[in-house]
Amino acid sequence: MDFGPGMASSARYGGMVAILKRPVVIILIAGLLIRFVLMPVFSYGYEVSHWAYTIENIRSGNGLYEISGYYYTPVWGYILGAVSWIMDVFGLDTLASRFDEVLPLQDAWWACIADVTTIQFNIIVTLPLIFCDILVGYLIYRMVREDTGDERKAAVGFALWFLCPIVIFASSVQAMFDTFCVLFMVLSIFLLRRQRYLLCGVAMALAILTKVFPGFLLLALLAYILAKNRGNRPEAVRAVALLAAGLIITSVLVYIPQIMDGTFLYSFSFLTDRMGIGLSSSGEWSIFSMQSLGFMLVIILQPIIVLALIGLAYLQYKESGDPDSALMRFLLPASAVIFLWTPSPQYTLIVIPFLAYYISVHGRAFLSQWMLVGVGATMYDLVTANGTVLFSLAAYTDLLDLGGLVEAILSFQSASFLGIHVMSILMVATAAVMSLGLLLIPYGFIVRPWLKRRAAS
Amino acid sequence: MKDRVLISTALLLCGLLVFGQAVSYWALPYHYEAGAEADGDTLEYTVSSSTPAEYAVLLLSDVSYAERLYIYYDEGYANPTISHSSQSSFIRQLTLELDKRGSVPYTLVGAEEMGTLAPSAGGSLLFCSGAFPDTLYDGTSESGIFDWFDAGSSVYWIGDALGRYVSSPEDVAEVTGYQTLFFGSEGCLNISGSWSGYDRSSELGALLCLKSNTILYGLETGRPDTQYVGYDDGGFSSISVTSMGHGSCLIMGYSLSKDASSSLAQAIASGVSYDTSIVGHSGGTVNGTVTGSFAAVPEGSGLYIFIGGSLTVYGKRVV
Repeated sequence: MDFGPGMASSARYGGMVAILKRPVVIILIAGLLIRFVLMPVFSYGYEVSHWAYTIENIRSGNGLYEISGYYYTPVWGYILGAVSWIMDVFGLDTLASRFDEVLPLQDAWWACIADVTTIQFNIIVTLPLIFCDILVGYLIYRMVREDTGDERKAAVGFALWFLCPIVIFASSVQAMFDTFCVLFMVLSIFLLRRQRYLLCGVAMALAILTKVFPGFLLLALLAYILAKNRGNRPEAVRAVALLAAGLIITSVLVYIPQIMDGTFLYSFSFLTDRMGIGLSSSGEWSIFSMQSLGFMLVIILQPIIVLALIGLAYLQYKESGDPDSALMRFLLPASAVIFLWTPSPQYTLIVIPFLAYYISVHGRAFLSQWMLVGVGATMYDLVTANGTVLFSLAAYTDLLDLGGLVEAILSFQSASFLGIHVMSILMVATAAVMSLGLLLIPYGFIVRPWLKRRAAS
Repeated sequence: MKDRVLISTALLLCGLLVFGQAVSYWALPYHYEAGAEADGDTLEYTVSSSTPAEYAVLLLSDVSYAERLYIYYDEGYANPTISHSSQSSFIRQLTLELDKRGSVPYTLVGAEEMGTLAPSAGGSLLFCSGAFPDTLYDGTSESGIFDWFDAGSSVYWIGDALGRYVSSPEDVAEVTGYQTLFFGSEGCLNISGSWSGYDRSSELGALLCLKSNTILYGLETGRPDTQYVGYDDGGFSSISVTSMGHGSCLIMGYSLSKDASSSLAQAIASGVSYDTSIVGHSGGTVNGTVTGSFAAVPEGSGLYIFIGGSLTVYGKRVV
C-alpha cells in the first residue's frame, strides 16, 4: 500500500518528533545547550593557557616535554597536537596574548597567568572534551540499558553523567582532560564485559596514560576476569595475558617519542613535582622538599588505599552472583577509595560514571553522594578559579574591564573573616563537601550494610 | 548503535591519538622562515609560516650580536642561592628557546675554561649561577670579567645581585662594595625591595614580548647609557642593558621561570643593547608568505623577525 510522498514525509516528521521526545535526546540537547552557553563566556585561564603553551611547543618542533609547559602523561598532549591542526583548519592565528593588567594577580596567586587565551581558542580546545562527555554518557546509557532492559533507567544514567555539574564545569569551563581519561576507562570496562580483553587493555592503558587514577582499578578488572573464568584457569590466564598485552603494547606505542628523545621521565612531573621530587636536566632525581602536609598525607595514605582496593577486589571475586553485576557495583567504592585524600575537583570525574550507573540500576541509595561530589567539586573548582574564569571575556570583549576584574579578584582574595581569608574558608568548606561525598561512598557500600547486618544479628 | 560502531568510534579515538602524536613528533607540519634583502637603503623582508600566526618585524639601530655565547655552568663550584639543578634546568630551557630563534651558537663552559677564554668583542658570557667563579672575578677591578667588558663583549646576568658573590670549589664569598665596583655607587641594585614590576619600561620591551617582570636584583632606572626593556617598579627594572667598559651588561631580575628563559633568549637573539632604538616595526598575521619593506634604513641596523607573538615559535635575526 502506497500512502504517497506526503504521508511518507509526515511519517518521517513523526519519527523525528518521536526521537526528539526521547528522554535521552532531551537530556543531550539540554546538556549541550548548557555547555555551549558556558564555553564562550567562562574559561579557566590557568589550565587553558598551559594548553596554549603546549601547542606553542609542538609548533616550534619541541614536542611535549622539551620546553616546559606540559606536565602530564602524553595522551592529552597528543590530542592537543590534533587540536593544533584543527586550529589551522579554522585559521586561528592567536592562542593567547600577554595582558599586563593581570600581572599583579599572577604574582600574588599561582592559579593565575597573564597570558590570557583567546575565546576562539577556548572554544576549540573544549570541543573534543564535550564530544568525550557525550561518548561517556552514551556508554553509561548502553550499559544500564543492557543490564536493566529499561530505557528510562538508561536515560537516568546518561543524565547523571551528562548533567552532573562537575562534568559540565570540567569540560566546558576548566577545559581539563579528565573526561578523556574517563572515556577510555569506561570504554575499557565496556570492552571487558564483552570479553574483548586485548582492546580492554588498550583502552585501559590510554586511560592510565591520560591520568593515572584508573590504574588503581586494575585489581577490579583482574577480579572480574578471574570470577568470569572461575574453574577455567587456561581461559583466565589467556584473558589476563591479552589484557596485559594490550596495556604494554599501547604504553610502548604511546611513549615511543619520549623514549627516543629522552624525555620519558618528564612526563611524570605532574606527580613528582607535587611530591617534592625533582629531575634535573642531567636526569638525576632528588627530593628537594616535601611541598606540603597535604601531599605528604597523599603518600602516607597510599598503602591504606591499596589495601582497601585489594580487599574490595577480593570481595568482588568472592561474590557468587553475576560477575558483570559485581564488577559494576564494586567499581563504585573502588573508584572512591582512591581519594581518601582531598583531590583536585576534576579528579572526581572518574567516580561519576559508577555513581550514575549504580543509582540508575540499583536505586537512589547513592544519590546524596552524587550531589555532594557533583556540587561540592564544582563549587570547590569555582572558588579556586573565581573571577579568573572571566579573563578571556574581559580581555577580548568590551563586556568587562580587565583591570577592574583583577582588582575585584584581589579584593576578594584579601577579604577575611575572623582573621581567616574568606577564600580559604570557602575552599575548605567546598572541598569538605566534596570529600564527604567521596567518603560516604565506601561507607554506604561497606560500613553501613555491615552495621545493619550486625544490628540485625 | 551496534558494538562495531562503538568499536569504530574507539578506533577513531585511537586514530586521533596517532594523528596527534604524528603532528607533535613525526610529521612536524609547521614550518617558518624569514629573510631580508637590501636594495640600496631599502630593506625588503619576507616572513613565511605554514600555519596562521602573528608575526612582528623590528628594525633596530645599534644592536649587539654575539658570535658565540659562552654559558657558565660548573657543578664543582659552590653557589650562593641557586642550586645546580635549577641552573641546569634553566640553561636547558634557555638553550631550547635560543634554538627556536636560531643563529646564536652557544657553548657550556666550566670555571677553569672560563678563566682561560680570551676576551673578545664577538664572545658573550652568560651567568645564571648567582656568582662569578673565582677564575674570572676576585672582587677587584683587576678581575678578568672587566677585561671582557673592555673588549666590547656583552655579558648576560640573571640570578643574584651582579658581582655580589665569588664562588670557588669550596665556598662562596661575599664581596664588599661590589655595586661601586660595577656601577660606581651603592644602591644601584634592588637588593631587598619589591619583587615584581607591573609597568612596562619601554615600547621596545613590549614589541619584543619580553615577559619577565621580576625586579629583585634588577638595576635602578634612570641610569645613563641604559636600556630598560622589562617592567619597572619603585625605581628598579626587571630587564636592563647597561653600558660597561666598551661592552654591555644585560641584568635580569631574580627568576629562572619560563618567562625568564624566553625573555632572555629573545633579548639575546634580537641583539638589544644599551643604546638600541626602534627604527621601524611592522606586524600582523601571516598564513603563507608576507613581504614588506623599510625605506631609508640607517647603516648598522639589525632586523629581527619573530612569529607567534607572546607565545613565540620562531625567531630570526635576518640582518
